[in-house]
Amino acid sequence: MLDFPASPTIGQQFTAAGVTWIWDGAKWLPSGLSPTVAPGINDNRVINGDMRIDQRNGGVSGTAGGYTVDRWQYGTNVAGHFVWQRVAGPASSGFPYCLLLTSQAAYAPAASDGFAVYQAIEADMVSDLAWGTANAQPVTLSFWVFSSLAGLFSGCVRNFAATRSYPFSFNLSASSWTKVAITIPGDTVGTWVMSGNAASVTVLFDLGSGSTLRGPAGAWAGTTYNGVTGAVSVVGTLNGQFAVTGVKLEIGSVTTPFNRQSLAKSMADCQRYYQNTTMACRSNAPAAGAIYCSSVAFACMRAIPTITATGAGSPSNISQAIPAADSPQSGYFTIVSAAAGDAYALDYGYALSAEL
Amino acid sequence: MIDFPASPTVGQAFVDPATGLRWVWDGTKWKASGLATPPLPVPMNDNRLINGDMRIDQRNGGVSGTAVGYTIDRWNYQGAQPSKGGWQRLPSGALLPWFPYCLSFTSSSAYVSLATDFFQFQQPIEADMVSDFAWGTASAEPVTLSFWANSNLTGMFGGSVKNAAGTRSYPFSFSLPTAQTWTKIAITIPGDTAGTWVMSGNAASLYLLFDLGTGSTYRGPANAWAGTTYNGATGAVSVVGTNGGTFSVTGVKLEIGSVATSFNRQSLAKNMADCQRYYSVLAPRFDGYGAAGVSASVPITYPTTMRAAPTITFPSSAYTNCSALSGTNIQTTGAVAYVTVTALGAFNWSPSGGMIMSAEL
Repeated sequence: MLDFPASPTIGQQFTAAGVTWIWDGAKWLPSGLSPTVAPGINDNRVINGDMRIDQRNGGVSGTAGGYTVDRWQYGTNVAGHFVWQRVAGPASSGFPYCLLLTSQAAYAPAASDGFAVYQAIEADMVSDLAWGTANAQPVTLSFWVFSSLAGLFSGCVRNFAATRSYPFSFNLSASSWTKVAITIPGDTVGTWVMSGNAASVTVLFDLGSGSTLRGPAGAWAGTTYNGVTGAVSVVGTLNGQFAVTGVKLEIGSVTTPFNRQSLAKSMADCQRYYQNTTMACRSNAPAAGAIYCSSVAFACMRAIPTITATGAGSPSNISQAIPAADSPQSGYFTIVSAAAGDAYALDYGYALSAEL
Repeated sequence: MIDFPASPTVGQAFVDPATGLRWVWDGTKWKASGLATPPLPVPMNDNRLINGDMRIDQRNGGVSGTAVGYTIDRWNYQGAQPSKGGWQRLPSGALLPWFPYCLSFTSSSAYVSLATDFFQFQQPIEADMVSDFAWGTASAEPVTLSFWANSNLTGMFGGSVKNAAGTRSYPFSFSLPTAQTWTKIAITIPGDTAGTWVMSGNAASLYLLFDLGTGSTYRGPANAWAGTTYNGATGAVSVVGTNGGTFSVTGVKLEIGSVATSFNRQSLAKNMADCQRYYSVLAPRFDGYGAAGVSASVPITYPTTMRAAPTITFPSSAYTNCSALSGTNIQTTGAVAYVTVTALGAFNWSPSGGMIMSAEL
């Protein structure tokens, strides 16, 4: 509390907490502060919170568990209950894309069933949260969310080992985009990975998990919770919809505006974990079995990526085409000729993954 | 400016919409009575330093070293005498959980520095990163340096900000009153209106230094611009002067203005790209089939565009039926590596020590 001097004279100054106040004869006025200063914007610890980047699918729908748009996973132990897709979002709120999940049946989840969409965050991105210590900092999660259903929805923040969870809930009206902000106290106990390139915090939205995976809202628990007991189960309603965008996780107890970053930066952030690339190699082989290799460079990834073929490419006169990565940012593409003559492998598409 | 209600009654409350502060009139004055809403964060200025939180260590991955030159990314150790200490990226420890990594120096002897000796950590900053400072002009802007520091020694430590030519320097000092305790330091430095500063382009503009025990020639009065090279403040603690003396630093931010704002928590992809503008390592390889004497080439693309056409080195290479690796057509985005085929047949080159691109300042 500021204890201003009693009986001040006009022009008298008083400084407290770095702010100097001046008595104007009627009231204390802060000097040097401009009322037009824009509020600070905290950094967002979530990547692709506005769902702009969709390297894998380019807006095409899917049903499988795993990654949907970049950095966002759909997870379940019961296949075939949701279709997910990046679709148009609440553009009037500045978010032209959202991640939509639509239930394919009216399914009553068993106690241990889980249905969720979530993002795991790398530890070096959240070190200053200091969770698992007495210095644990609060965070604020904000997002725009929509459902065809109404009621109390839920999600959680938890550690990657799922030994610490904080379920949260939020109310929605049916078929209306709603901005939600939830402040979560820092977890002072439990084991959290807070540095390095492993996963630390996971942000999760519950789509209808069973009772074992739900708990009380607004409290840290030493177990795995996906959401809040009694929350709406989207999977429980045929064609039930849940969509989310503008997701921001920031330090502190205040919601600040969503960070509007360049597309180049957002793409680089995503490509630290996943990227598509094309490889090629060509040479004039003297005989069968000649080996040729070309170097491949890509955006630096979290770790040495695993490589998966995404397109057959255009081969000619080769017996093998082998991609390899030997660092988080480079690799090589080897072909083996099948006979003498022009040997090549062109436009071979590969996905590089260093996801958490 | 807060426009309090006129003629308030005792106990009347007023919430300032700009700050969220709740005020109560006590009959004589308005008294703050807590926050009606949580405070908004202070706007954050951009950090002109790269890797101030010491996360990126492409060269060493946390392994220690003693040589002069770059330690972790963008941070350089300079010592006029060899073997006076070692540097390493270390865990900051439980008492500084917000910054899990720090750059640390440990003295390996009790060395009394000669007058012209120097020992320091430093980071050069590219001119296009600080153009708005307008140093060397009448419009020079102040800057604020903030960081966390720790030493097993106590006393007044020093450092400086200077231009790349070493003709202008501003020594500063800071107190670490308690040994082995992380201390947050914030120092505001007036803009230099004199001297010659490179304020645009891709050359080095200013250097930030933390003095580890520089001799008297390179130390001067704190808190004043000088027309010479000072690495630190006169009388500051000499870390190299104590065997086992340590100095650690992290969370380093240099920003425009006279206020220290929060450290910018940037994405790892951005931090890595920032560092790779100056240094990166690739692990290319080359397999082919050629005739004796043929120069066989392989194009190589860097992870990001570099500050300038880099110097490329191959610390060690393994050759099969080829030799004389070299890099040519070196550009800011890529290069071509060549080998000479020894005899007709298959050949292979793989740089077991990697291909190192450096465009450091």
